[in-house]
Amino acid sequence: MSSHYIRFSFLIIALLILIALPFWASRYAANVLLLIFLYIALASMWNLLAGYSGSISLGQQMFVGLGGYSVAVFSMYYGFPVFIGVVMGGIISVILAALISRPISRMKGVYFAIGTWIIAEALGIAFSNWGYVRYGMGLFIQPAYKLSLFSIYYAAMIVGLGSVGLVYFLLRSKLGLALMAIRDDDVASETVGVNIFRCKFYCFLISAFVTGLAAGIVYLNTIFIQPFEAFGIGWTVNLLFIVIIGGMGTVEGPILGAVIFVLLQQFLAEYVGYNLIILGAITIATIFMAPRGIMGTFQERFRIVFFPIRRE
Amino acid sequence: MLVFMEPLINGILLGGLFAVIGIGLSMIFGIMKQVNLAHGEVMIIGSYLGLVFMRLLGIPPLVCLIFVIPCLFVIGFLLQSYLFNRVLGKGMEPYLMVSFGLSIILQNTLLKVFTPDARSLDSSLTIRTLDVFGLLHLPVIYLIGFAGGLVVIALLHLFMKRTYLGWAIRASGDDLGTSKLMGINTSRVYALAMGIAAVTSAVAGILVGMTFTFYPHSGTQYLITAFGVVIIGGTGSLMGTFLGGLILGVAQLLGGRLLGPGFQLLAGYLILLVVLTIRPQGLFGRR
Amino acid sequence: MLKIQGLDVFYGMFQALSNISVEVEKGEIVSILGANGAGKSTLLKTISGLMAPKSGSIYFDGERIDRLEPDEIVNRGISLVPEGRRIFESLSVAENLLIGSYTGRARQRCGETLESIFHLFPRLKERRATMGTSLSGGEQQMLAIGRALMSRPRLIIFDEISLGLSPIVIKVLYEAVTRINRDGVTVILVEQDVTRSLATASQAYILQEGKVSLEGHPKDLSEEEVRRAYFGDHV
Repeated sequence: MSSHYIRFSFLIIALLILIALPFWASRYAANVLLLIFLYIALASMWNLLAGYSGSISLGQQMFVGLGGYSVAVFSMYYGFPVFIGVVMGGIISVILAALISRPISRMKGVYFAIGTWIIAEALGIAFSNWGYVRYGMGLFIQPAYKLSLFSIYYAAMIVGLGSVGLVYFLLRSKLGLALMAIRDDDVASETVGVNIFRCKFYCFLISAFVTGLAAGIVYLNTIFIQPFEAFGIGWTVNLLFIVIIGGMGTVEGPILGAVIFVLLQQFLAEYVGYNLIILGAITIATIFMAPRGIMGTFQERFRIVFFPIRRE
Repeated sequence: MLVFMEPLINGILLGGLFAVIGIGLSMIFGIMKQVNLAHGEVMIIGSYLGLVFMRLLGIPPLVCLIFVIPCLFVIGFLLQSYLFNRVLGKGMEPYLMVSFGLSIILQNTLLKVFTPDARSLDSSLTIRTLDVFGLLHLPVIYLIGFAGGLVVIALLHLFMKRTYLGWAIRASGDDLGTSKLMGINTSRVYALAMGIAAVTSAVAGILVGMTFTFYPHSGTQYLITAFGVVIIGGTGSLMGTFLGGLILGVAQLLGGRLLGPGFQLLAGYLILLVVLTIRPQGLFGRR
Repeated sequence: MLKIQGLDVFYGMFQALSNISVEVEKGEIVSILGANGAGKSTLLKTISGLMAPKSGSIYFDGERIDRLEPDEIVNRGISLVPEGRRIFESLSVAENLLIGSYTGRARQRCGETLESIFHLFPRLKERRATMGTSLSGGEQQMLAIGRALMSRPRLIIFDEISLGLSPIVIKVLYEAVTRINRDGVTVILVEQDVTRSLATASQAYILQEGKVSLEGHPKDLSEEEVRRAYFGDHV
């Protein structure tokens, strides 16, 4: 029991440090950490689909775009408070997810991957042809100018840490057990009564919601949104890197991956144009040499899991 | 009625080009059961190589094929030998992610080397149109693209039906283990198949470069085109791929006429999604 | 011609073959028998290069082949007719046969070889344009045998060719086996059908749970011995 105690107190201390951070750290550090939180959320959701649900999605950016545009539209055109706009982003993403879930469920494997990609591209084209959101020129989210770094930081922290907690408790629940069963052997899991469609459906909805939320905060931070960037494949590129480096199918993987990614981005910001090439090369090298990512290999080797989801 | 004649015919012609874009992907998907997400980038490399040879040697784009084809064959062969052969047999995911990573690397390398400027392979052929009875305007380059599609499909068909390598490629797709028992070095056959697919991409790349402007990021759009051809036409049938191209071409141009030019791609995507949902094995597919 | 010594083969942690030693002389017909799971398929996969042994060796005409790739082994003159026929479904009958002559040394004489196979199995010549998998079970087996012969092997291995076929067809197939042997090809016959394979072979090995439990000339083996070697002492 003492290892639990150690783990728990470690978590509490880390939490306190993070909460107090904006007070003692520089603006720059707070900004970096904010980004890390948001990528943790986005990557955890991608990981939920790919690592636990067995569905590699190349189209999560559809929810990023929707989340961002929801914040923009609801706060600017309808005068909603910005953070309500963020929540709306999550809700609208869930609605899209629910609408497309039936057709999507008929796509397996590579068809699912490209199908989700196509949907995101289609949304990008649709938005860039839509006068209501100023076509491809994009929108400046005016109300975001007035936001303090504090509020964005805490919003990002809540979503980022909340998503980790969400995944953790989800995987320890009955749904989690079902997911692992499906991951191990989906035919066998059906024979013991697991409804594969329903499980994947819930995961898809949850990932859509959190992705939409996180995206809303991302765009509150960057203030400017444009369809091809918001619905662009670049998001998936980043999330893929994070989850592969960090470790697909682990709870901690996206956290480590997000930290590495954001720090790497800061470091490589000087070498414009090369950063994506390097990212791609590292991703491929990782798949060859450590296919389970850093956390995955670590867990295999040392049998230590920071967020254990197996029941004892 | 007549207002739809032109996009219909041009759609069919364009479809021939789409078929060439998709045939390489179809081949690889049919044999190795994997989708190479860098397929679009390999094709666009062909377009850029065309540009390079045009500038270097002052030759028209179609003549560049003589140089671009061997270049791309080597690229495809090496990619399979040193990259993809290492993840084959490990499931769908590693291959998907490696090819995705590769597409990012290639796209951004092109961006660095050639800048984001719009490019095209210009020749006297690219601007001429054929006037049919003064009613229809068919761009000559569309006709060339269609002819190119027919030639590539026909040659590939002969190759698959009449040569040892062609049989070996088909056999490896059917049953990898038993192919080895025939004395087939399956790793090398895969590499050669990828080389051949890259050759078709070379033809596609030059034709695309002559038909449309291209950018380093154009690979994505053509990957989806290729995938669309494969989905609609189904795998395992060269004729099916050709017809898939035609259908996609018509869908895009008719959609563009009906909804507006910005929606051309969207029309194609929607058709694709519908087919993916209702009949993923394609309209003419075997599986 | 073929010398297998002390072969140990594992599937992960599970030992499928233990200390297998088999000798095949040139021109012989050697029969390898055993119940399901005794290790016959594993042995054949190892000989043909689809699997690698943990220890032990396989020599073919004095050359060590146990670490070679399958295509290299075919190039040296060993051909396997796989269990379940495994006809290529995208290829026609003729194409299935022709792919058998993929190796360099076989390609040059493929026309001649093809004719001799059509002579052996006239049914294949009739149906040469049809798709390989639309043939009946017996015809598919002929096709699989013909395909293996197209590589002009010096040693041919038949893996359970009588499986699922009627007695008449089996008789035809075994006549072909004898003819092939008479033409100078060494044969290894792997079967569950004990009687027929013992009648055809000049040497027999019986496998049980991954070990050789009995070997010898079929004439010298009593029915009692064979049954015990095949099923074990519990029967």
